[in-house]
Amino acid sequence: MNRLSRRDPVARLLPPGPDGWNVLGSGFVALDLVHEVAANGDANLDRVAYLGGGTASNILCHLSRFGWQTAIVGAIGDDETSVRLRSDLQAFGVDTATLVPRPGRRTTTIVHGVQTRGPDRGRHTFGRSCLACSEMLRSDAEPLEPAEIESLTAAINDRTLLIVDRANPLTNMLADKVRQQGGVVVFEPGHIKAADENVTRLIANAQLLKFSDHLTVGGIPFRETPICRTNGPDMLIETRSTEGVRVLFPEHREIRLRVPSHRRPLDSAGAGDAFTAALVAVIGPEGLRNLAALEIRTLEAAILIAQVVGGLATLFLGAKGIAYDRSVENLVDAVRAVLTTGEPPAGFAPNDLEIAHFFEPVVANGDSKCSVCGTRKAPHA
Amino acid sequence: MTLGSSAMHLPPYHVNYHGPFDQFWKSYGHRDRRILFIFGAGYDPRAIPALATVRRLLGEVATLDTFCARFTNRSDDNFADNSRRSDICLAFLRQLTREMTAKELYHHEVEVDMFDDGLNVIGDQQIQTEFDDTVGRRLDTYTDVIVDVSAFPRVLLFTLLRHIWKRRPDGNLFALLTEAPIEVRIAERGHGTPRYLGDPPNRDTRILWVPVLGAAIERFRTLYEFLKPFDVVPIVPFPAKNPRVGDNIIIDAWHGPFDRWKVPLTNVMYASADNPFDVFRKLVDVVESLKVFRDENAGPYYDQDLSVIVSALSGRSLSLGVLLAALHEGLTLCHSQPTSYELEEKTFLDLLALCSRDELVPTVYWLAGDLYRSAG
Repeated sequence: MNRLSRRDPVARLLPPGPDGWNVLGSGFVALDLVHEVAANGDANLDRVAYLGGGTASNILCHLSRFGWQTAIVGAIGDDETSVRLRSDLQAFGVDTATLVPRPGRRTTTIVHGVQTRGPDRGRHTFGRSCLACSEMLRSDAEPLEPAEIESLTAAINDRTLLIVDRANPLTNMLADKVRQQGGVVVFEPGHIKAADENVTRLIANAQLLKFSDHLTVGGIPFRETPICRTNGPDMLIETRSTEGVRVLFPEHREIRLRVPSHRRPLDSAGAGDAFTAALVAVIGPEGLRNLAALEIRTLEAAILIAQVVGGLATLFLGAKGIAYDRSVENLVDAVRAVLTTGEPPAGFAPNDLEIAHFFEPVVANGDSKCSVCGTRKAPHA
Repeated sequence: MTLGSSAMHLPPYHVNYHGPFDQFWKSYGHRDRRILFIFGAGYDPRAIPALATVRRLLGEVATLDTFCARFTNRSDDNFADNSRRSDICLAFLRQLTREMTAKELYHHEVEVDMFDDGLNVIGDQQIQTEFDDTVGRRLDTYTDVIVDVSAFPRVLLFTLLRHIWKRRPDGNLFALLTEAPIEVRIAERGHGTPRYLGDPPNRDTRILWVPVLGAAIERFRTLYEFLKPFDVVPIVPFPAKNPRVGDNIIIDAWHGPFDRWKVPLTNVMYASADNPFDVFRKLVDVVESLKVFRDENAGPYYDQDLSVIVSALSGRSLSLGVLLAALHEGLTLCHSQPTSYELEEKTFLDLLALCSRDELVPTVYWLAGDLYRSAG
């Protein structure tokens, strides 16, 4: 197997970020709280991992590692969760100065459970309440005001790439501003509650709309909904797990590509985020700006590399586990190996020890706070 | 050409149509037609002329959807060369689709992997799934389905045509075939595991095998070993552009399969290399004669199950006839897909030059639909 020789016109697999471009991310910003789940379904409450999460944040982390200037925009609480979230994003080089803290408010936490062994290895569940104290971990931070957005995004220019994972007034305001300045908007909806004006407006503003075949709106696959046909994007990309990728062009054309997949994924969460980051890196911002003029051959090469990166990400725990444990050079070598042999190099996937070390012991937080999620317990608890 | 509107279909045994597609369309085509055009795209430039003709002739139809099965064979020893050629052909094909006009237009380009890592054919399942997920949803809305067989791997073509035949038994179905006026030699090397396309015979069923032969003697041998037939009735091409081609095939086979397996020369049948309806008739005759023979000679020897299995190891025109017979008579095909193809660069370039000049006109074969409805 040698796919590289066919479709790889790019000299470098994952080129570093171009000078002068800055990437803004906005949408759903949360802390991921990950538990290991035993074969019997019981979550291990003694060891957890705290990771910055949300699609836009994850994409920014990958892009930062590839050498791009990135910043995340939004409002979060000022709790312990927010400290962990900032710390994790900053570790990748994401600028969090544009994450505005709301005093006394809580930051969203998503609780994940991943089975790392047994027949259901790779099974991933999500929740919104702490498995230790049952507290609902939703944010109560007020969203950014228009005036705040104006001041935070004064530097938006024609070299701004905006990556958005939720459609709301804030992200639409950002998208409007980026498009007015001649920048580029990528919309990757991870969740759409309803087909409202925010969604259609954001789709209309995006050059690239990327989504997974798991995305549904009101129980209907997103790609079959009328809003998916909203005029605007130069390209729609639907990832279809092991079935490959579907690319839709406004000129009444679609292309379905087959791509390599891995047999033993450990955690499929975040594969789409890694895909998008790699796609953005390979196509580059100018390519995204002129998607309609992009040669299909170049696009295919980018999609192939992105799909391989997404597949490699599933070998690791957590939505961006691959970014913690392997260098960009390791990643590029692995992509090249998959493209030429169909398999990553020996030792690229994490071993049992690395998987075990992914989780850290829970530190007692005193009687007033939950040791796992850090929320303050009610006086009667 | 429409003979009636009864639901009963006659096979294209006595009445059939084939001729240059442009001449046919002048008398047949009109603005209200809703067309699905299907083609295979790989390293063979002969996929280009049919699409070019469709672009030129079908510009005013109501609906024109295209479904391009773009096949990838990662097991090909010549993968790099053939992939490069596929990219060149695809560039021509994409340009043609961009230039198309119709009131409604949509192009689907679907990549299909021919084999998995174990050299098992997986493309047939993939193409069927992708077809159903795209144009298959609207299959009943098309007035005409046109399939260009010129560069379509047989295993994909057979699977897709059988699928369409089952799902849309009453509709118009056409095949287009482009033949280049130069000798095109594509050497095959290796082949995947033989498999049945259609219902496999029961384990103890005796098999009467009717292979339509071409130059693929090695695959003939492999299929024989797989099927272990109790009798073989080979069909060789004659007449053909080269009138000796049939004799050459028999001579090649004589020193191998025919001799070793004691296939008597009296079993050999002939069918026109250029008219698929001829081999269709021969195969139908074999099946019908066998039915009569079994009815008249029921006894200890013929009381067992007996299945007629057909194989197409021949050129595309003959292969189309084999498929048509299999569809009409419910026959099972046995096929072994080659894993590597070798085409000389000069031949490829000559072929590309010929096919990209918009001069070659494909022949249309009316396989099913209005032409074959009985007068009732």
